[in-house]
Amino acid sequence: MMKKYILALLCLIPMLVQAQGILVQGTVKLASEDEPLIGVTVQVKGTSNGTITDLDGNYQLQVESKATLVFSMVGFATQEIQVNGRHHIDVNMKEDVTALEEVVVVGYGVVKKSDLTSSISTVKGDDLNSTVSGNPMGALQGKANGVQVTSSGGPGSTPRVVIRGLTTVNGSDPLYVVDGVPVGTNINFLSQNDIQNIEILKDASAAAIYGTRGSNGVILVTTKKGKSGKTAFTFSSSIGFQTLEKPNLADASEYEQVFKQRYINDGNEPIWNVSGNQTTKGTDWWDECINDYALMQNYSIGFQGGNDKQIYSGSLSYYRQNSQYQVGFWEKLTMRYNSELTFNDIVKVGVDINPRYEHWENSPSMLGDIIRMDPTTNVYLPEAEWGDNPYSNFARSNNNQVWNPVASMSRMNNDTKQYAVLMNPYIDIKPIKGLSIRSQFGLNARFQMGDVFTPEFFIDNLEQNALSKIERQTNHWIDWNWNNIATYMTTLAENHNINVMAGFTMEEFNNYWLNGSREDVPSYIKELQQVSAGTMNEKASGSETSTSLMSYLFRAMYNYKQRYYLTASVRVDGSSKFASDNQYATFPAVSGSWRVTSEEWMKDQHVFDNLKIRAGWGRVGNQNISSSSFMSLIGTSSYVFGQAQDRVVGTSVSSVGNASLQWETVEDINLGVDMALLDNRLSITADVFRKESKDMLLEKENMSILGYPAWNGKIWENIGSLRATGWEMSAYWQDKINDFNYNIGFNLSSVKNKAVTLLGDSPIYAQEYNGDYIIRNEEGGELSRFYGYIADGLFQNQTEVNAHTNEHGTLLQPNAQPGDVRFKDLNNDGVLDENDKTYIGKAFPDFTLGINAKCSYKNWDFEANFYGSFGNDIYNTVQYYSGVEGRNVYAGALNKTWHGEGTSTKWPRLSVNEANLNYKRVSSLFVEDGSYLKCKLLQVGYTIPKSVLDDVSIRISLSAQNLFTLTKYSGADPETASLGGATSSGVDYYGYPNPRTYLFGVNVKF
Amino acid sequence: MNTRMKNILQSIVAPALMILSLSSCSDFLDKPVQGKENLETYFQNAEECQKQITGCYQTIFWDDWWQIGSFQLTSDMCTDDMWMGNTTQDNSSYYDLVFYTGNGQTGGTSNYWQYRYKGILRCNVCIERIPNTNMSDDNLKARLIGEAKFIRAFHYFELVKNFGGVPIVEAMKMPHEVEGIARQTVDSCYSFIAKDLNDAISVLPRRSELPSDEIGRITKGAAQGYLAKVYLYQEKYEKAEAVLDDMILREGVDYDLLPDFGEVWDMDYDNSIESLFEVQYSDDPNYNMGGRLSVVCGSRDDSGWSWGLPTSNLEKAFVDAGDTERLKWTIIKNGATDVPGDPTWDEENPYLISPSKHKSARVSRKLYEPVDKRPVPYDSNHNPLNYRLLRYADILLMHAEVKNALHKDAEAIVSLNKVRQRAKLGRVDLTGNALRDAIRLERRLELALEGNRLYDLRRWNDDNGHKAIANVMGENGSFVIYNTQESTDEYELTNQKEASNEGSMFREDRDLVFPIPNTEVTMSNGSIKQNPNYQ
Repeated sequence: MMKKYILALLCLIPMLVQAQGILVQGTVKLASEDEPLIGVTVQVKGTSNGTITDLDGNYQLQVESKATLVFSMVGFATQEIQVNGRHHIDVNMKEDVTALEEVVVVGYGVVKKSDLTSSISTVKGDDLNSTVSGNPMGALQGKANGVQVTSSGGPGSTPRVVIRGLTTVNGSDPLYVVDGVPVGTNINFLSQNDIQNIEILKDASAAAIYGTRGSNGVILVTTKKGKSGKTAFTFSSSIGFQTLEKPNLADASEYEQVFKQRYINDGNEPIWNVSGNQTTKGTDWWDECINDYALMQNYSIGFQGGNDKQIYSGSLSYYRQNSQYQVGFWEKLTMRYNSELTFNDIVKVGVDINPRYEHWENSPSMLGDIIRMDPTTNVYLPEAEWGDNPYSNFARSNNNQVWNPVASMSRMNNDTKQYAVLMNPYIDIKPIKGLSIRSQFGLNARFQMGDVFTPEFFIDNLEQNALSKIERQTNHWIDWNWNNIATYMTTLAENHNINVMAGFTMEEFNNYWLNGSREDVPSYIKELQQVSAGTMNEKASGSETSTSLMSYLFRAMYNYKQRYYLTASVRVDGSSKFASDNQYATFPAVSGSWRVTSEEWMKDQHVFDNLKIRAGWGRVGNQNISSSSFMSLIGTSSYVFGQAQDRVVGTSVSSVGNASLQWETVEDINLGVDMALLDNRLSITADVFRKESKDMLLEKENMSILGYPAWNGKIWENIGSLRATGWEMSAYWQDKINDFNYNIGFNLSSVKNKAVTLLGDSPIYAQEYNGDYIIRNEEGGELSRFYGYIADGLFQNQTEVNAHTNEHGTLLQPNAQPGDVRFKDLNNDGVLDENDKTYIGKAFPDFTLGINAKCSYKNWDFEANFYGSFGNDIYNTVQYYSGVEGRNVYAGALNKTWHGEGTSTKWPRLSVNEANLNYKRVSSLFVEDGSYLKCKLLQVGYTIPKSVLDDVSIRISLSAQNLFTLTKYSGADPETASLGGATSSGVDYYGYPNPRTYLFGVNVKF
Repeated sequence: MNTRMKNILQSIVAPALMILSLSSCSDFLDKPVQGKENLETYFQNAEECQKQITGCYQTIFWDDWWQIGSFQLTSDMCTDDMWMGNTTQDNSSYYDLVFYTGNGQTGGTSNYWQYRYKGILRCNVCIERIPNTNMSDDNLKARLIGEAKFIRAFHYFELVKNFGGVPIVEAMKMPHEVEGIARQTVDSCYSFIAKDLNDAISVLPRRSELPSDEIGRITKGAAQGYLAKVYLYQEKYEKAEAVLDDMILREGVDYDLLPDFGEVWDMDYDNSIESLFEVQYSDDPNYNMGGRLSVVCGSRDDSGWSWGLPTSNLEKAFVDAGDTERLKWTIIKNGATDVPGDPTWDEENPYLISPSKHKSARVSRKLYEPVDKRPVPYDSNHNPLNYRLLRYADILLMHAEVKNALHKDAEAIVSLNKVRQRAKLGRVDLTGNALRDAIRLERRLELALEGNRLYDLRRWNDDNGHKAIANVMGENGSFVIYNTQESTDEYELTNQKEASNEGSMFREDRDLVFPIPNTEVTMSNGSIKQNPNYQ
């Protein structure tokens, strides 16, 4: 009943009814659900005489007995019915599925799906919602071909999204555009419940209209809009928990044995500090720090409705994910309201408003410390030694340098809040038939405030903070864009369909920040954690940055008889990020398609329901660099002079700029085919592509001798050209057997990322490791390959050590002992050096696979999603058998490492001095197969039949995310491990694994 | 025109006008950087040049212990004067160099290498740009360039001492401009350094000319002292002699020995008459402008980190020489009831250096700060004790060494005895190689733990045709034999967590220089070569 009252409020005043002729009355219903439809326009054809249906779907109208009635409503197929003297006419309206679904959002416009000439994937919001993820992209994993999504598990973390491989080393994130507003490279803030559709512009012929920011592809997000007529309320919730798998670590007694054995094996007396924890098991640091379960919850309520003058929709959503630690969470409260008013045939105005609130406490990144920490150490000091400061009552690690993780966690005190609004008021004018002019102003404003308090504590000389510190940083981001687009559509001589678009846009991105801090806060109580409470060392800093883009757009689309299609577009972009000589760049694109099934001679065949061949070419750009990269800047560097030892302010070059920096461009060719077969039950899309970048931008490490201020000499450079070649295919099957509906989709993508040329032929190194690098990217070679020595087994005895010599009998590894790794003298030149390194692994997979299946039987439904990555390697730096620096090891390390002839062929002997560099050298010893197939989602749902609950539909569901992973990889999570940039992927440092998540969900519609 | 058309026109024309008005503002794409100045428009006046020079000074030791300081300690650990010392913690950042393992992939080295070259870039920017600056005071201009040249020479000298010939970069360059760059020979590096120092000498003021607010700035004397050292390291004795003679002539005007050896490393005697060049520190807790090595070298029982502890071998050298004065001011031993200059410790409250945590239960007195003079917090880079890099005693001993090498033993003895007299030791009256050895011993005792020993041992030739270090280190080296066969030191013998056979893996064909960072070899595509025999 509730809904009727609300509808009554929202309903418009009925139009005037003029009485003449006979009185016709009846009820208009929604065909599929046998529900009355309100707000349907009922009009006598050719006149202004009409009415709309009331709350119960009823209408009555005085008409001439020979009149024709037109029943119309947005989103439904219009019906014309002749009265023929009848007094009662009931009508069943059908949703105009084709009209709604076949429209695809492209940049600055929409086209019918059948008219597409470029490579665009569409994912419906409904297909995302079964997976609960903090970031909508997390739910996209495996759902669209050519789109590689990999996540790590922490609250608020952003998944890595790679569209069709990598042609730039400078960030792989695509551009996100929400309802026409470019919002950057992250849509964490969006509630996945609000998404109507996601369109992924994969090739340059589609993305070129976004010019400078299109090189990694563009993801267009359309949020839910109102629909006239049928007003619907929805409520959905899911609540559940996450768990992490515990690694099997050595206990205190095994740790002690391993620790001592490392010295004994080298003939040294062990450094061993008496244990504070006398039990053999010792402290289980994992259990002390990691909760068994972390809560995750997601709630959303929404409504949508409207009539032919106004449509509206709104929602309120809340999401919260706790970290697996005692501290750390992320929550967001998002609101969305949109409304569009149609004044008349010419003018339409509307707005989407999306205010939101995000609040988080950083999750610790301490898994490594927890695993390394000495288990013979107690968490706390004996109570007798406790002092007034609770942060100092912790024990210091007895036998290594790892900071007490429980103590570290107790001190974590950071809190960040963000208030933001995204809105896009627009006006749409259609002054003459076929011409539409739209001006939209987008505003993305964010206000963020972060507080950090670091207490004073003393655990040890090397684990202390002598002065407490309180710090607050505020950040404003005010980004706006103004799009002015004119579109003209016409059909000439019946068969020539033309659509042209021209536009002008301006965008500005502003960031203002201010940071203040003080030290020596008198107490650690919450009330004193304010900057003003600090008593020493007052510090403040702040500045602003501003960048801008100004662009001119043009696009023309043409098709002949819906058989032959041609699209051409060009965008001219000017950017403030480059020196004035290099400010402007032009990005053209051309694409075409041939719809074979529209040909006359295809009329009689029954194999293909649809067959379309596409080809496209285009250029896109990348300007993802900091705003001042072309300038060398001056910063402060002070020194002390004078008898009084006074500080004298000085300056120095704080960053070295590259004045010749220019645009990075990517050129892209795409060939594709779309087909539908077997009465539209099977649809297949396949594409091949080649993308090649030019003048690629990279903040590259350089030789130290250049002396650049940044660590390892980084500066921005145009460093060369990368090429990504690949193919992708998706197959989708849907069918129905009596009450059993099912569909299954496969996505298969393969891409090879190769460096074509690099500046001065010099390789790009990444992932520094013990004074060397793990990754080498070389001209002509694939990206992110591991480069090091080949570990050729272990020396089992002294004879084998002595046998590893060059032709003169000189030992190749003079420091080696039995049990050490034999490294290959690859070039047989008699010395082991740089020249014996080779490629020992690769970070990127040969192909990735997504499998998505859904079925339903009567009131039951079931869904399963799988994602796999095949042929990639992982460099596992997590050397938990080595005990290096006194760290803890995996259980069984004593037996797994070499301890006598024939005891191990893989893990070398324990050694404290590491004279043979078993664990320090970059070698194949640490390279593992990183292929995996993950069950991302299993879900079963049950919908309570309507007969049970009057007018209300309720669905309950149970789901498991990341339920299991099939892999040979020995680390925590091959998906997390394979993250990283284009030239630095695939090195595992034990990041936050994707937790297994169990959820209970309820969806209500009324 | 009906109202509808009017409305339409208004709604089209208004935005169109706005577009035109905005797009004509071509400065929409001009977004200057806020809050920072631009190098291209910098160097406009004397003040800006002076500020840049101040920025160059900051690179002498940078702002904490890990860029330069810890490597300075490492060099002494590689000699018979110093252990790594800390036996409760992992020593892997020192181990490879100190134990002479021949491993080139060590962490401390790459910091040192990188930060020396970062300092060189700052100097290069000044040397390139100050000459083109409009400045009315030509003397000031010349002096500023001279200071930058001195600091550049200092950085290169430190690099050559440690690594042998290195790539010489003389300007701010783009990466493509240094492709294929190779290491220069040691000789050509020294020529480059000597030229910079000579340029500096010709324009820098003398110490006696500095007003009190400029104390700490580089003087002619500092440049001369380093030039003499550069010549001495190359065994260019005549050239060194000329420079040193000129300095000795001004004794008492610009430089002299402090009367009491205990004052040399006393923070109340920062920038004393004996000082030629020292790192200037302040204890202002608002900025990171102080030192930290005092903490790094301190006893674990006294809030220190205990890295870099004196050996009993060094203590024995003092004892054998009858040198009680300098022993007292160089080494503090566990249980000391009388730490000179600090009344904190007495019979009831002796100074502790737990033998189980410290290889030798000794710490350096030179870097030690008396308890009531320490900053709060102590364990931070706010310690005010200036680090002495070059002092007049070193000049006198270089003078003695040069004169001896030129067979002018009478003059050598004068300088040597000046140093001995201050240490309350008797005059020596030797000639030839006996005098040479006395001077070498004097250098060890006078300059102990100050970062000189390793480079002296590497350059000195012994009578058996080997470098001095090869007779100290190696299987039959004096230090190794002492520790493994002769020593009766209770602390060092019982604490074998740092093995006493340190130095036994020394190889003369490898270990006269340190390895350069392997990353630099890799990054240069092989044009920069590793030192011989390093893996």
